[in-house]
Amino acid sequence: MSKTQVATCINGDTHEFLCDTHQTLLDVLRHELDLTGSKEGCATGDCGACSVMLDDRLVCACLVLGVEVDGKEIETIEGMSSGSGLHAIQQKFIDLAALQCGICTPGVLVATKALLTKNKNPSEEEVRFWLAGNLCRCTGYDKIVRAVLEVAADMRNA
Amino acid sequence: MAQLILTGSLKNLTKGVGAFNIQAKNVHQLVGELKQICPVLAPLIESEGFAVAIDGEIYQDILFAPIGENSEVHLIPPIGGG
Amino acid sequence: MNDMTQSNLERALKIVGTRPARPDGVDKVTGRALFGSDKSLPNMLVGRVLRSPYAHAKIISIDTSKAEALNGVKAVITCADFEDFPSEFVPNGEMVVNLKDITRNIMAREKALYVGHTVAAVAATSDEIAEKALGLIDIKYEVLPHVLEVEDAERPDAPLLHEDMITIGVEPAPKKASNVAKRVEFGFGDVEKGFAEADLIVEREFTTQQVHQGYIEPHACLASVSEDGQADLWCTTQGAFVVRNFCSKLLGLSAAQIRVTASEIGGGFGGKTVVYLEPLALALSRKSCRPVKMDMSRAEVFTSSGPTSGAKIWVKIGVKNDGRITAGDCVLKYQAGAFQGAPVGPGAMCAFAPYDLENVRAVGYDIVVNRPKVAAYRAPGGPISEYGVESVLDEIAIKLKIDPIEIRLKNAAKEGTIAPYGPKLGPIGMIETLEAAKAHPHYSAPLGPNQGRGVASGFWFNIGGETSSSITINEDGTVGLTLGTTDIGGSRASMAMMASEELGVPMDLIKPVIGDTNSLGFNFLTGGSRATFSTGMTVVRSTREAIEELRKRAALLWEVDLDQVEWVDGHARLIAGDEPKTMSLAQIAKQAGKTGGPIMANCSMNVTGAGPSLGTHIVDVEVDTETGKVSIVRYTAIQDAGKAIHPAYVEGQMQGGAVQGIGWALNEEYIYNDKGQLENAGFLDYRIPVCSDVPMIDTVIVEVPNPNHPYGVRGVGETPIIPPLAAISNAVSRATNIRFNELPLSPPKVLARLMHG
Repeated sequence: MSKTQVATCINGDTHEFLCDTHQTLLDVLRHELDLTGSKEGCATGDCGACSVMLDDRLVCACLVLGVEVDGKEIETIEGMSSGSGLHAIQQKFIDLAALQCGICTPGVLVATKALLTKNKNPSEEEVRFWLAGNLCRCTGYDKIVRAVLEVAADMRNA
Repeated sequence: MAQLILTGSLKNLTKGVGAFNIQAKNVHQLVGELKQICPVLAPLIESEGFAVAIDGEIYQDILFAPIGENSEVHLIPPIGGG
Repeated sequence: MNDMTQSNLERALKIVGTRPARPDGVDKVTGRALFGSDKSLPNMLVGRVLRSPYAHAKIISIDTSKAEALNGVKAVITCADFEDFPSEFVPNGEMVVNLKDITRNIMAREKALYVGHTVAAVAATSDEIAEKALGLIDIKYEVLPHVLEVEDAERPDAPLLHEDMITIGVEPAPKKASNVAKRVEFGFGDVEKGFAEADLIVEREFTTQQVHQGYIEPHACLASVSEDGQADLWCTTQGAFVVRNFCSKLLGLSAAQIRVTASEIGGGFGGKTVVYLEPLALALSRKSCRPVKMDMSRAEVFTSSGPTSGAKIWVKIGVKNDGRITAGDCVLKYQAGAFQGAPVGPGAMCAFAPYDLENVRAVGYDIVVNRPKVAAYRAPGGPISEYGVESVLDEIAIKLKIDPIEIRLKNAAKEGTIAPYGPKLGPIGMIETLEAAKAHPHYSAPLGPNQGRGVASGFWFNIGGETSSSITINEDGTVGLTLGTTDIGGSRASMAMMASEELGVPMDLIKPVIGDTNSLGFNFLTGGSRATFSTGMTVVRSTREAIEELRKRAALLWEVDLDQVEWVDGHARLIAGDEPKTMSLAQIAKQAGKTGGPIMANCSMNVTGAGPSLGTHIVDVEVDTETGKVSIVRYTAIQDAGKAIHPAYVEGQMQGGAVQGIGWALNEEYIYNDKGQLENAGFLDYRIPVCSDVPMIDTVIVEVPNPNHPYGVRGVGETPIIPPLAAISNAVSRATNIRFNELPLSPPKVLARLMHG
């Protein structure tokens, strides 16, 4: 099977890779580039554990083909705490115990950052509907929603 | 004297006898004694495993849990969990 | 044990009870944490599984020759690659397992017993080749009639899954084989006499559907067996030692030949307590002499790992007019899946356990059906039986015009109550959780139109078991903890907190890690709400032993007797003497080499003395009378934790358990078609609660200390999934004035009752 050459920018770094036309972006991230922070919970776009930013759009990496990202910019969980320590969202999740097993956490964090970029003052309902695509089976969502609301307030006041 | 109390399924196996006086001073001795006084229970305990409650405290697979002079001993199935 | 239990219940605590950051927090929020499928090895192969398309079929022949001939295929395995075992129950930690069944569940032998049952597996150089190879395996089946529901499976003419299965627990033993594996009975007193004394008797039948734990991380493992038979296994599991023991038996390897390292675990809830892929990956690796990685797709997780039972139950309760229960009786019929082992025993034991009854009986049946073999799911068996009892109790409360909390208070179990399974209960917090519920503002808040408020309680035993951990005092005064129970929801934090409290040094100087199976003695798995209780017990003991050694070293340096040295706030202190003298842990540790060598301690024990945890939940629902949709408007979970080491993670357990219960009550169910195929094997159609489905889950932690633990810990993880089923059903019943007795309360089912009564 012939492979396609793809050039992309991931977390600010340029990456070139060869991929099969059927490979998803998630396959490429995890298996070709060793960026295993994005998780595979379903591979059908239902769980959100593989949430990444693709040119400023929140997507499930399992629903994007590797060949589609040529020339695009991608941000994954590995890019969230660039150099100067944890992002405020990451720190807030630790402080408020907004994770238990942690498998959904990368996707939830990426989705939360996307929300707070678009909407600096979301209501509880807006947070709940925005994160409705990120399944968490451990926390019952309570502490996640509280963390998002609290970090949004912190970031507004910063 | 310590007593072994049987309820439910176990009491059905012993044809309705609900209590036995026991000499055993620990669970290890109890397993031996059961073979004598109530042989119908022995295979069940050996095949499926049983926990023992001594005066309300549950012991799973602890052979040398002490049985007191006037202890009340119950056999219960082992408990697992998610 | 009492020597170590009392002091801490009375002394002022500095760390225990606070909310510090968890030690693995940064790894979890940065994507660094390595879960089951996040690890790779050089020269690694990919393993894939061929699964039965039939719910029940005889396997006539398997021809793997074409698959083996495909370029890139390195190994193909079938049942011929595993030893067969006679029916034999062998202990594995606290579980007693039947190797005959397990070897048949990981790889079908004479028959395939459910759609998704493993029949062969392949290791190849790529996913595509492995997939292609599966298609080249030629299996001839003789399709047999199948059976999915307990009421069909127990009919005399039902197709038999196991032609030699004679019901255990029935006297005299039946002559004829059936699908009923076992009958159990618990209770005492005379229920007939109790019902004769009753002023009111309510009896009801209930149905619950099969539900899955729904952990977000699918099963995954990476096995590497070298030419000399040494095996390394990396996998996502609740119990590395339990996996090692399963695999050593199934593969004929010694325990010393297999080293199991537990990855970070992406949820388990009981579902990761048994083996599926692990023995296959080891067998494929042994055959190919290369590392083999395997993971399940989400669909495979649903069809082929163990969910919990669907059930039919019958509950009858008699009461006096004042609400005092005179008798309780129930019959529970639980689906086991393809092999015996439904959690009907614990279900029957805890059905009436929140209550103090004189006449009680609970009968359970473990019934095999052509569905995947069930595995543990949070408080296994409890939610189903207690749903029935708590629903009938609510109906009685309405009929007698008694407040639902009052009727529970009137009958609540307390210290000294004889549990329905025999022994007397120690101190428990049933009354305390009910009082806390009654006092909560939620309970007296007004309700809107089409809203109803439900209450229910729940009981879970909690367990101890075999546990081993160690502590190392490093030369620079920092501390290492090696733990043997998987950290599934923050237990590393609790362990470091308890060690920190004991040692009197800051928690950030303590590094807890989960050891592999070569680093400690056997540890039973994380489950049954035992980790913080049992591993915590060993951590406290080994830390105290390390403190004793630290005091000895200080005594040596000061040239005094040991009893002249006490341990206070992370320092050795000379008791007598002209001027106060102290030496810090770091100062002692620095000289450890010169005073006798490195300082470490370990503790291995079979922990007993777990204390049951009781919970009471309050829920407000709103029923959309047009669509039948039930919305959770407000939710409060109250539970006795004994002592909350890290209250945020205790709340998290309560909230997570409650929301799993909400899913069970409202939406989740396995839907099979008439061919026995699961029709909703994905998160889109098997709908677990999403963020927008639920409100905040308020929590109240009640603390009735467990006298058998140095800090009073009970364990909290299991109980919170029990009350939601009945609490929600009771709330919907009260909102609609229709008594519901079937789960899930999904819109079509609720709407049908609203329209037809």
